[in-house]
Amino acid sequence: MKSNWLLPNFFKKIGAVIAPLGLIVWILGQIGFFDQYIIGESTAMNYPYWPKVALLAISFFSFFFGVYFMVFVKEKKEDEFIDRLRLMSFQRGAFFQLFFMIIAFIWMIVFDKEPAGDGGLEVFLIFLISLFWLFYIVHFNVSLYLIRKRADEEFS
Amino acid sequence: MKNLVKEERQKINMTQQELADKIGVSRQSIFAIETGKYVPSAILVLKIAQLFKRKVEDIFMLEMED
Repeated sequence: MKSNWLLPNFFKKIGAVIAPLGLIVWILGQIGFFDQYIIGESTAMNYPYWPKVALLAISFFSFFFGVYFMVFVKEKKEDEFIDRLRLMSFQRGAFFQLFFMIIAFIWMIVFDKEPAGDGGLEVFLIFLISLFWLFYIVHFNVSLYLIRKRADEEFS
Repeated sequence: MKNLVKEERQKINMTQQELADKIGVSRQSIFAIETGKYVPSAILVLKIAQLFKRKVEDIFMLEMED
């Protein structure tokens, strides 16, 4: 089976750079780390928060595009074993996400700790979606690394 | 399912990489097949058997749990 819908391999490196960078900048932006540098004087004519909004939007989408690049990318040698590994990682990622979601909602109900505040539930749901993809990326790449390492050890 | 891919490959002094190149897969796939971590598709099984000039059932055998 040929996976023709995947991106060329070099997108993996781009994704590996922009995803963590986007996430770090987004978190720092959310906690106000850049506020003193990018928020200007408020006047009647301007909206001083637009650089912050732009920074948050760019970093947020950088993270998601980075994740997309890392997930939907071809390996240097695509074959049916890689396809199977990819499918297995998707299945385990889905299972892990569902398991975490069930535990999280039980915890919220039992301890009456719903995500509150400004977009609390929204952030929780974004985290939940990201959890699946991050689990997939880690599972797929670690599995591939381990099998390559064992193959190299046997070869040497 | 067990297999004799490694034995057949060693009989003709072929490396994992050479076998991988001839049947169009990666070396880690050959390693995974030889160590029983991965059961290949019918297409790959036929390619391997053709390459070794053997019948499929001479190289791949079902086990009790299969």
